[in-house]
Amino acid sequence: MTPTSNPIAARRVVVTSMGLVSPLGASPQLFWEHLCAGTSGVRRIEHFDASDAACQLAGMVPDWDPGEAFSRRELKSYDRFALLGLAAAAQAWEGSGLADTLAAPHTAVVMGTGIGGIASYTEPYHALYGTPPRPLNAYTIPRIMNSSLSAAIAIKWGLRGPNLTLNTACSSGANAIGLGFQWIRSGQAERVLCGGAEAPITYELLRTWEALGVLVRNRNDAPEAACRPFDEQRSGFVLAEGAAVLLLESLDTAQRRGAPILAELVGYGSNCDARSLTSPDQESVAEAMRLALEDSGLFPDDIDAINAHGTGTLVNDPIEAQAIRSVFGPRSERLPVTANKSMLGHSMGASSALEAVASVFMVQHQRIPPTRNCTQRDPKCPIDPVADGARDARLRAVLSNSFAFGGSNAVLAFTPEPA
Amino acid sequence: MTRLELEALLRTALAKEMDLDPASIHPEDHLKDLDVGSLDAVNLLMTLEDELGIEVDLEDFLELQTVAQLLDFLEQKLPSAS
Repeated sequence: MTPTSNPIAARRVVVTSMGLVSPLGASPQLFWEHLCAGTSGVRRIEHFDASDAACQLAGMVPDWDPGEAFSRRELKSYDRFALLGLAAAAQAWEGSGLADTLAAPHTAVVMGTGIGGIASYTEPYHALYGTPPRPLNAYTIPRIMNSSLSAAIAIKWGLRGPNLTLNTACSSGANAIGLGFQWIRSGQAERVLCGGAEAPITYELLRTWEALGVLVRNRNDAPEAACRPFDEQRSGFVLAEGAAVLLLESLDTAQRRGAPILAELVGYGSNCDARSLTSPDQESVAEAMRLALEDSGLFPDDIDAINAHGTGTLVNDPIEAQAIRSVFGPRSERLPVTANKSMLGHSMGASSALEAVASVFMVQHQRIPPTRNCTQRDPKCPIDPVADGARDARLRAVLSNSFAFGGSNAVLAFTPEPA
Repeated sequence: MTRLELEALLRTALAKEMDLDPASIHPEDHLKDLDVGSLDAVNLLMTLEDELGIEVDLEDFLELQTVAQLLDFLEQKLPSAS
């Protein structure tokens, strides 16, 4: 590992607080414990009738009642995706020790979401075209807005810094974290709340994803075995919901205030396949990993594990594994590559933020969570999927891969707390 | 429609929109104290227009401050008031 040679990387960026609501629990600690235990968060859908859907499974947040966490006005104003994101942001911000300080007005927010307030988007259709038609709701437009979450975070805590929402489909969260990283590194912001949120489990969206042919098939009776990244028997992913938010600060700022440093974010690679709306491109995906390495001043041999995009679709996994091989060479066969979606399902724009939280824990605890259900590794995936359970390992640096429909790739590089 | 009937209808609509117990709403209550915001007012206005068969100007509606003022306003809008 060498010190970075990138001249704009004068300011180092660290993670000092995190918040998360996921199918594996509504706190980062629960999430990490379940992830390492190989617990599945995939369940049968029960909040609507999915009986005519081919895939009746989803990764849903258990034991989380927004009615307990939010005011009546917040419940009315925000779609579930924004409430999930707000809950994650509350943990990250209120746990940071900054909530009642003068830091708030200068804090930036950048959040990612793939499809925003989709549940609220369908409501007016039911109201207008149902029998009899029902009145429309004045809250619908603000609930639909993708930017409602980043706005909600700013409103709740008076965060008056730059405030953006990114949508790059399934890499939205990682790109939001990457942009926040760049803001701090370049001196545009001192601290940034960044991450992603998604609540896509609606009947309409379930059937629409089904039509695309990427959801798990024939596993309705075995939800926990449904998601099988890198496994020969994989057949797709299940939709999932969740949100994760990281508080990034400059290393100097964090050290000055004595904040706990969970990990350092050392690099961000971002590019676009520029070829297809839906099919990933192996060379482009490999290039995104190389860009993250270059940005961080790391070499391939410095990377001790990868948190994969690992969707479990027939197309993604071999392309990602072959891309890893092209970057890491024959060593890829021994390189631990974990796929959190094997337990979480695929929460689209939130998934890469959840995986960033997992990657922070990986370097913090020097432990790699397993890829669940990878009982027979696909020979077209020449990586070590960590199939036999969580593994303690020396992790000098971890890459977190995220790819997306539209070809927007984002790779984050994390290292342990600076010595 | 009598004023009592109108008041009952208004209480029901307000309670539904604001997720309140109708019995907890009193004529002297300020709409602001019931946490009625502008979007709540828009929803309430649409409900009342449908229920009463009247048309209400939103700007006039937003100037009302108490439940009693809202009641007076609606009473004047009803066809029987003309």
